[in-house]
Amino acid sequence: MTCLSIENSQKEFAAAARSVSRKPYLGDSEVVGAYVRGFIAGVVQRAAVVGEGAMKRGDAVADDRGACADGTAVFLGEDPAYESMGQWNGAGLINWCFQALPFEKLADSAAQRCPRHSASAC
Amino acid sequence: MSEAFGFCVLIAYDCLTMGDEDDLQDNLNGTAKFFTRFLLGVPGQFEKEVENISRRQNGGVMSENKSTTPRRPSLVADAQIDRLVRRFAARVLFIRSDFHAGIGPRDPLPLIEAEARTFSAALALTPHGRAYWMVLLPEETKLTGDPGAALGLWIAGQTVQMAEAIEGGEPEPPIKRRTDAMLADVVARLTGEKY
Repeated sequence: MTCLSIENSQKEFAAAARSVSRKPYLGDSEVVGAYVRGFIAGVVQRAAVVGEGAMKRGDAVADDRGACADGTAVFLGEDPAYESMGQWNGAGLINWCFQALPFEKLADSAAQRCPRHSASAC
Repeated sequence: MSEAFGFCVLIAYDCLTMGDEDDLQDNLNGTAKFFTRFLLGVPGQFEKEVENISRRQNGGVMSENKSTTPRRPSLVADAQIDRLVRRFAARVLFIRSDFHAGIGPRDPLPLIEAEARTFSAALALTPHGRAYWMVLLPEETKLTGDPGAALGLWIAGQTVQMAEAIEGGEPEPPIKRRTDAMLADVVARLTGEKY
């Protein structure tokens, strides 16, 4: 019951934010879902073009990196075309990523691959 | 933060390497859903998928440190394993109901065994996965000569027993819960979550 009511209040809040601002609101799951679907569709499309031989793999990877940077800018609240969720789209999301994703393990394995340098230097 | 998007790209690449077009679409939709929830701060499957990807990278060709190589029972992605196991159990029940309706072969066992062998091929067990199921299901493995097919036969046996229990008058909800728990356990052992 608690979860349901929280979910409902989030939806109500997203609807209220939509009605106040004309910009897409980053707390709205529909807006985030549409962005993510577009992002993944871009990745898949570039992979398909590489498969057809119409694009070099390196170019596709560079475009993927560009799309990652764009997505980062949007969800860190740096893109004025989107209405951010305040502190969540910034420090909140960065903290969440560090908490939820296995960065420590990745740093360890990077250090093992290149023991002479720290993970950040490599 | 850009690493999170990078992981999403890796998961999408992973989806591209497996399954037919319907499965691909399902996997990509699933990935989009997981990542959307992640970006909204809801814990869920995205973290697990990232963990799997990083585990595979640490143990795969990108790493020189072989001591961290994880023992993965199957080469197939987790979401795909879940779908394969549940579809196989459903297929067994369909074969059984067809048999009772007088449709199909008079003896459904060879058909179920053939389905179990197809299931095994789709599971793509690793040597570790084959050894694991061979130890867990020695009799079925002796019978089929293939640990993946042995697992299929075991699932079929369990599913049919549970269907018989419902037909025998036992209440349906607890049996359904038991079936679901059994399938979830098999999936967890195939993804390496449980060992």
